[in-house]
Amino acid sequence: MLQSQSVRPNTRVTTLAILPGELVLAAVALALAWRIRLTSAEFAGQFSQWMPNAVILITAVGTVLFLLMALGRDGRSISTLTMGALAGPLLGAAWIWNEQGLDGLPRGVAGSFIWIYFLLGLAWRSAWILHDASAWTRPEAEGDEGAGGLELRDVSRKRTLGLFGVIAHRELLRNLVIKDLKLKYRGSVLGFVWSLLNPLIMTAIYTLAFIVVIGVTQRAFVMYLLLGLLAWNYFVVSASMSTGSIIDSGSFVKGVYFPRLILPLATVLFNLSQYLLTTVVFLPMMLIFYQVTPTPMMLLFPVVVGLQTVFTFGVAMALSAGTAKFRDVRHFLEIALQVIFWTTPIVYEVAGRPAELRSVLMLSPMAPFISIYHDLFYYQSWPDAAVWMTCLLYTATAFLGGAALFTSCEENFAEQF
Amino acid sequence: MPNSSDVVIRAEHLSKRFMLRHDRTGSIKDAFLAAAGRRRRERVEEFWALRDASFEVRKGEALALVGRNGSGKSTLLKLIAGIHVPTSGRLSIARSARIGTMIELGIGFHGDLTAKENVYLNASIYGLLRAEIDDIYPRIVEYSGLANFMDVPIRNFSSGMNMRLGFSVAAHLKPDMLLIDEVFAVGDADFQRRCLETMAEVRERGCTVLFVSHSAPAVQAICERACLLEAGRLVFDGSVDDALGQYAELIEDREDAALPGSEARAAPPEEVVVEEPEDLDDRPHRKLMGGAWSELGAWALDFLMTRGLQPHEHVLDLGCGSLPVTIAMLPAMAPGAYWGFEPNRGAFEDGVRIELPNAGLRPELGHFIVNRHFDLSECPHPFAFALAHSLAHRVPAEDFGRAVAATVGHLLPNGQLFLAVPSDLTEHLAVLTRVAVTIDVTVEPVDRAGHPRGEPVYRVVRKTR
Repeated sequence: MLQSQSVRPNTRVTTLAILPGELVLAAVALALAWRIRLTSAEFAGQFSQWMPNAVILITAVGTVLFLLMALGRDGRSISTLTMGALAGPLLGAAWIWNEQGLDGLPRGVAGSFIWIYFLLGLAWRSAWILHDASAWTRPEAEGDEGAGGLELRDVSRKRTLGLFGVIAHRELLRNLVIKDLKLKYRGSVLGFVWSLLNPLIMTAIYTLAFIVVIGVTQRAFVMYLLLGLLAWNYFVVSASMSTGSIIDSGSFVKGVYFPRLILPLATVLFNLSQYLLTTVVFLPMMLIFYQVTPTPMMLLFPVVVGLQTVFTFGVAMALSAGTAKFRDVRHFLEIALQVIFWTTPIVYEVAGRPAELRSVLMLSPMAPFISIYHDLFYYQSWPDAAVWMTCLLYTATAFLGGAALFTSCEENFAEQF
Repeated sequence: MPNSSDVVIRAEHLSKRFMLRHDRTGSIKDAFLAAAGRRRRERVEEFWALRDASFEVRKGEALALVGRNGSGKSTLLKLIAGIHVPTSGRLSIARSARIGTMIELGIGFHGDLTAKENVYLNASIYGLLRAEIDDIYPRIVEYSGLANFMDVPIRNFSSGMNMRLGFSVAAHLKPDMLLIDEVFAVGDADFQRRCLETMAEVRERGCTVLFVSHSAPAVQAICERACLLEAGRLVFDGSVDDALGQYAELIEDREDAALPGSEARAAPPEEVVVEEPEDLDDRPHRKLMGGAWSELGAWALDFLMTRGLQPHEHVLDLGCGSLPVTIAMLPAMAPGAYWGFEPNRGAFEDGVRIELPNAGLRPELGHFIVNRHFDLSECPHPFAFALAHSLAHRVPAEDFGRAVAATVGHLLPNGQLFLAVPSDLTEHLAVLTRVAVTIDVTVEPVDRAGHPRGEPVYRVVRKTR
């Protein structure tokens, strides 16, 4: 589905030219996989130990990709990436484990490497698809249009990511968000209080379950929970609502043209407004109640919210386009969100758990974002560089992948009804 | 061409193909099965809504697009509006042009928002900014005549008020190019008159207009040039009178109605003759079918389903009459899978006008062919099943034989045709036997067919060699 249909100079040369890029991606992925597992000092100290194995792994990836392309597969397709990202590292890991046993390459690192390399490859290929799409729309020079005449624009191939169109249609975006807000509170007696009640009640229930029933002893558990739950709610509601962004807007899509991107974007921005409103109420309350002294690093909050918004927007684009094609996406999402909730450190802490477990949990999609919120406000320590890197990795992959999927499906939306 | 510099729309060999997916479940399972080759690929049918259309429109021109339903007029309009993307060919539009569309009115209207909020939302869909909407808002209110209702949630509006509001917004967008798709067809005479007035004003401003309509007077009033489309092809481009003349000829030539929509739309629900339920069976068009009108539908559906009819398979209701079987089958079949054929136009029209609205169905869900000479050539694909439940006693024996031959010609190799023939129609049975020999088919009686009027049912299949 992510396959771009542009006319490519499909020669072995272009195919082989992507190999060095792939190897760089693999190297970055492996470094990040190790860095998530080790602290900064350990990472530098053990550099010479894992370096030879890294060479083996990356060579294995390169060999598998080269063989696949030599067999005539398109190196830029997602299926080649999947095979290269799975078979390559497994082959290299098998070699290392055979020679040195499990110590040479912990299984957690091997797994993280496969996953991170796959995400990086996906982001890179999506960027290609977007690049191809935008290359199409550059108008060819119209020879026969005289000066002073009307300039004609070829609209036969409209497949860009409509970000500029969004600016032209900003009033629509604004009105859609306002519409959702108005409809949410119109006719309800408590109005905005409902938006506050939801996280409050969830927090109460989890506190009861974890502190009273299970007997977890954690200081300021309520604050820890609220930080995670509010950010999680923002993501989860955006994701669920975005599945309907396109398919529930039949009259919009069939009756007039505007950048369809606005529909999922409006969903995300509506939920962002909800998130900010609840945070503005709860966060100062928590800080005062637990007598937390504000630190300058708390000013990073808007940056993290921005990253999470871009990430959520990417996911929303993918989900809205995916649901338009396959209605199954909705049902799949319900299960996936449950899995992601329990693999994200929201109701439990990861600090103090074994390194193996921590490094795996850190790769859950929402984990880096929520970790950063915890670091900034709860632990009041600088988020680790590896967490930032993972955060950026997910943001970039979700945005580029979602945008590429959306762009390649967009022209069919009007035919889906 | 005289002066290419004021061309605002140029279409070169423009084509649009739709993939009609029968059995549209859109599930991942299907995609996987198809990819794995485990199941025969999803039944996808190509439909070329527009083929190889080339034309130019100059600034300030008013061009009408005429043609029968399904001839590709609306598709062409939607391509220009950017709603669909052409499959092949090239479409260029003036870069500076601001395009206004009246393809659907009141897009995005939400019942819980007030009229004012809806106007702002609706106008912004067309790309207007807040200041521009503030600017035209007073005129929109004045034009719609709903000044006292602007703070009322529009769920309290009648459909006519909704339409007036939607049209007022669309009329004040001040576009350089206006695309209109039959929006006048709905609405009362007063509304239509105001629409025409507005169109005249728009023309005076120098706005380019593309107008899709079935209404000859409206086309004559607004446009100076017309394009006639037939089956996706642009067959005529010239003066309005010539185009309308050719269009009339086209309709007479193939007096079959490709049906759809127009009947239902032309007759708003208020005008439908709703008769008292007790004298239902006295209605002439029902009597014409030979009795047991209400029972026929359920019987036909059940009869064909037990013989293996699947919802996505094409089925022909031969002699659909006043549509008893249509009413049972339309909801049960995939959209477009049901085809009806009827030689008696009067009975058929009564069915569309009275019976379908009563059953809450729209004729566009199926296809209909109406002609007296049993011409099925309009149908693009063969049928898996065909059933003539009430035809034999309504047509002469010769015509009956012709209908059977035509239908067998439109059957899949393993397709089946079922014929209910009252046993007293010996002449019809004789013709049937003769036809069977000529076109090499087997005719055999069906045991315990259970036809509501107790008529024997015969099964006609091609001989296998």
